[in-house]
Amino acid sequence: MIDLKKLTIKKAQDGLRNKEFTSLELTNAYIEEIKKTNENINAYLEIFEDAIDQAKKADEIISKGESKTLTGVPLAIKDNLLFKDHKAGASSKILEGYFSTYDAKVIETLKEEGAVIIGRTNMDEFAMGSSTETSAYGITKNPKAPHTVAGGSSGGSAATVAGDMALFSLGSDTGGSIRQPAGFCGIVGLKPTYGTISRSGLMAMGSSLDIIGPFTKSVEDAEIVFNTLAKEDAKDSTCVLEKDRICEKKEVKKIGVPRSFLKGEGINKETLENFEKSLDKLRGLGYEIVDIDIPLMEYSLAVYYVLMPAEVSTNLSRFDGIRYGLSISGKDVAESYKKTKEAGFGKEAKRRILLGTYVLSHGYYDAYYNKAVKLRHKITEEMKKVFNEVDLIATPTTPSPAFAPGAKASPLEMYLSDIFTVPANITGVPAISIPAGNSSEGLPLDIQFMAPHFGEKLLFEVGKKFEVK
Amino acid sequence: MTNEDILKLGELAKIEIKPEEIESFKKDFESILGYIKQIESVDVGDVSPSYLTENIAREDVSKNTPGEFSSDLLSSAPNTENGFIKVKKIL
Repeated sequence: MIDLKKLTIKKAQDGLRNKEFTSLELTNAYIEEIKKTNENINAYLEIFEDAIDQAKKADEIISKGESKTLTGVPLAIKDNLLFKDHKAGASSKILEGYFSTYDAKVIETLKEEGAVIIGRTNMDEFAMGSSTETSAYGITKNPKAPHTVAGGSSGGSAATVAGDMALFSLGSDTGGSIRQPAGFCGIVGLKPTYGTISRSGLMAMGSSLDIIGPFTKSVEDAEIVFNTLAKEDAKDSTCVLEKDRICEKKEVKKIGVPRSFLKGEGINKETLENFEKSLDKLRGLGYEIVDIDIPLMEYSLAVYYVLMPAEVSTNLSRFDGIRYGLSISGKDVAESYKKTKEAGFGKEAKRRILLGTYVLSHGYYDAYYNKAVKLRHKITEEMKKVFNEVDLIATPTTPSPAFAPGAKASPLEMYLSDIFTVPANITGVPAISIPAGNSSEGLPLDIQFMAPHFGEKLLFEVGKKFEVK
Repeated sequence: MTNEDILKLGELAKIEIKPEEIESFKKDFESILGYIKQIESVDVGDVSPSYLTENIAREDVSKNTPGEFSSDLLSSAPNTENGFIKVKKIL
């Protein structure tokens, strides 16, 4: 029996190379676990039919001694990543039955590595939500506390790793969609620097904010996956050339805490107390903790809720029932569009498309969109300045532990759960969420570190020391 | 926001809005826009809107052979005829 609970990518590599188990055995062990757990948790939407074939192919590569970093390692992908000839639907009815016509860059890389893509995971529709409650295919429960949500939007991907249904998984993070569910599920979630992992083949939500990243059980595993996937790609015009990925800082000494930002409304008391404990632990590890002030940071969420819907309204206009997906016929083209979108999109997708249309419309464009773009620029400058004083910034990842389905009464209340994660997307810096103990009710708590652009190494360095082994 | 505003947004975004949805959209937008409004009070000074990212352009040449993806792409389309995507009359 392979102990899936304790398995890491490193251990799996050793096990596969030393012939302790084959990729087929490992993949089957995960599929067994999925059969036991997934019905209740609803992390996977589909187990790919060719998962077993992928594993057999990986075993051939291993037996030839041509093993690469992720050869034979089983993983899950979020339902907004394109894997040629496999279904992909962003958990939306509008893409029901759609098969990908090409591979995302990350899938291409995973294929080259000989990794085993077991299946696709549930998510908030088009990655819009913080709880997977907007999925057209039901919510994903939190494997660590099934009476609560797994978080979102990449809730399914988080739950596959937290529930030992995959060794690692991929999600996408536009405003916290990797880090927040990682926090809720008590695992590691990395949002890399914007432009380090190609967005080619990731269904676009907010193109200036979106990034793909891993869910893992350890910081070391996150580092392994990141290093494998962070390749430049001409198919993503905002992907940064590898030679330009420079971070001047080499090590972490000082960690800054934006105190005034932590005083906002609605932040759970236990979350804050636990965060102070985490800071003590960091002091114990030899880091200097200092207070910092990023005055405009508190506007990040408001800026985000202008820019993101604006980009959503543009990106989602492609789902019109003409080239793919659901199609409902009306008396003319315009009516066909309207009927298709009405029937295909869920409430939250419609809300954000309409909101985006509003902030971009004549008369409001300057007050909302242009103002938000300027403010984003200002916040980024402030952030860069702070990184002259400190090496990392620490906050909790989530303002409260995982909540029960239906607990957030209004959209705005749901949006506020991204308060600590959104600044990294607005500014493009990398950030990681790492487990930091449990609440009195036994729910996972977390800590988030942000680093300067291209400073993932710094996150891994501190993360490895901080995490409980 | 008025009922007409909501219907107009639906018209612009090409999403049919059911009469029973108008009130709830209105209520949601009022609270969300109320929150967003805080950016109005910030003085950003004389910043020109700039973007964080720079384009990296690849050579403008096609590496694909004609028709390489046609059948895959057409097979996704709900309505096709003779290798074309079929749509309702536009004019």
